[in-house]
Amino acid sequence: MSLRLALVAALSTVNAWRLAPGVPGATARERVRVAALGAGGLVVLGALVGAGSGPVLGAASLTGPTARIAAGVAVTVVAVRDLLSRPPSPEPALAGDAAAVVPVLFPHLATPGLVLLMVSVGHDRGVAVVAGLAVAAGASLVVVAALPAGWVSTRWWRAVGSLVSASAVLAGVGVTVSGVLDI
Amino acid sequence: MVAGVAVGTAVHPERCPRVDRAAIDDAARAAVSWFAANTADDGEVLYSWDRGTDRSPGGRNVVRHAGVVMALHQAVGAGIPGARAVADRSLRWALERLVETPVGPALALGDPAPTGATALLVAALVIRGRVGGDVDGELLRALGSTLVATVGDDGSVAADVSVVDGPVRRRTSPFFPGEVAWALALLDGVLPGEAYGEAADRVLAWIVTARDEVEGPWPPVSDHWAAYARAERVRSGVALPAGVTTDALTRWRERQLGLFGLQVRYESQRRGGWTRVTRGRQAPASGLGTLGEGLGRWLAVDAVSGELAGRRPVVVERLACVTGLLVERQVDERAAASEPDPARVAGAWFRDGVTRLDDQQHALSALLVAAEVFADPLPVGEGGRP
Repeated sequence: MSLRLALVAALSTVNAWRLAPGVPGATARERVRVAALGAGGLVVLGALVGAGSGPVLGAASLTGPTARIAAGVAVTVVAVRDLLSRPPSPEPALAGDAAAVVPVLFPHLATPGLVLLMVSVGHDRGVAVVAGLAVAAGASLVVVAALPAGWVSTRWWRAVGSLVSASAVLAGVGVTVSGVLDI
Repeated sequence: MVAGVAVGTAVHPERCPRVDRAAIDDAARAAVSWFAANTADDGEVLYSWDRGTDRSPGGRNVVRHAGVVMALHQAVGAGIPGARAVADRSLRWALERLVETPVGPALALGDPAPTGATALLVAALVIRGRVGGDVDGELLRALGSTLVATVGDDGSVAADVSVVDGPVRRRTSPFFPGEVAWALALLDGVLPGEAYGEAADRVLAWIVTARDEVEGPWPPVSDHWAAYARAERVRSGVALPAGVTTDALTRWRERQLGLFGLQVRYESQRRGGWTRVTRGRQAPASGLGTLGEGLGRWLAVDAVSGELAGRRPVVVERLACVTGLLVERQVDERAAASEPDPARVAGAWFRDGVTRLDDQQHALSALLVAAEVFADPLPVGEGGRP
């Protein structure tokens, strides 16, 4: 899997456009804070998953290419679900900064698709690359969280979110194919 | 949950039994013993055996017989006791079935002669010469003429040679081109300067650049014979067949290695139970063996050209997996002892209770190449992963 495909898959799987209405907070400042904390959590999770990818795949008796197939399938399934379902809601959420954990980190950011993608990339390219992808994915959410709530609930905004989900489907297929065609 | 089910269906744990060099050698010896016990005095090798009925379902295939002759001569080269006697016997049977065609002698059980049979007989004879056996040089040259006549200007290979009309291009074969390329490449080594090398390169170039587009085989062919051919040409100092660009060769190599690797990973997920539904039944040893042969020959290519670079360890891992699966799936003497006719079973590989001579042939060839790669007595494979 090329670095470019991994980046596209990570960004489109997170799909900040679609997640934007689901970030809790009464003001833009609060939403940015929660999104940033959630993004930080994603980077920590990415580092842990990336560092542990080798032992995890060893325990599961999976080779790198097969793990990539698993990641691609998960990314695709999650993206199809996103295409067919409504954008996430900020409720229910834990109070205050804990909202960065629920719902921002779980279940919005750390989907099965993204976690398996991080495991696969961690095995193929190392923990630093996984952390880099997590930073990029988390940053995309922080950027959209700063936008006015009225913007991110419009129809055209949702349409863009659907386009990104569609690109996630393609990216998932691409990741799967790269695993199939590898040695 | 949907993602979990999808992933659980798409991938399964890959299990590659751990084996050591001694186990590889034992398995190869047992395979040769199976041939020794199941080759008649006239040299005909038992074609198939059904453990369920304790009878042979019958059958005859001259290409597969020639493949057995070739593999047994590889075993002679590896110094396996008893291999030479059965190799001689099986070769005699083949030589008695040469027929004359307008372009030279060919190995056949009727008309037409399948080109692959003649090609594998030539390979067997060249290997025989390499391992100290007697070889009739004129016969080799005559068989070489037959093979050259099957090669078209574009490098494609006629699948049959008619006793009356010579080469016939009515059908295609996924494996005959690779077999012919290999045989011609081997001939170039023992009869240099007689254009066999040029013909081998023409066939290889066609395989690399045109075969998939012209024939569109589905599923795509992981061509172990072409890997043999390429290894032989690289060994002779020809890294790039005429008419093939480095880019084209790289694309073909990556596609081939991908096909070999995918099949090994897939096969290592077949563990019975639920995987029988999601992955189907286990491959026959003939199919599994070809994966080992192909991977082993690509490693031989790399040993000379270094073209696998950082990919070599992965290819070695996949070969280790094939080797472990073959050793594990072979019926050993103890398991065979309870059979009504243990000699038909010991050292063989069965699928759904049936074995065929090419199961032993390809498995033996794969084990022999694995023995070369894993010369160290330490175990190979990680016990759970390819």
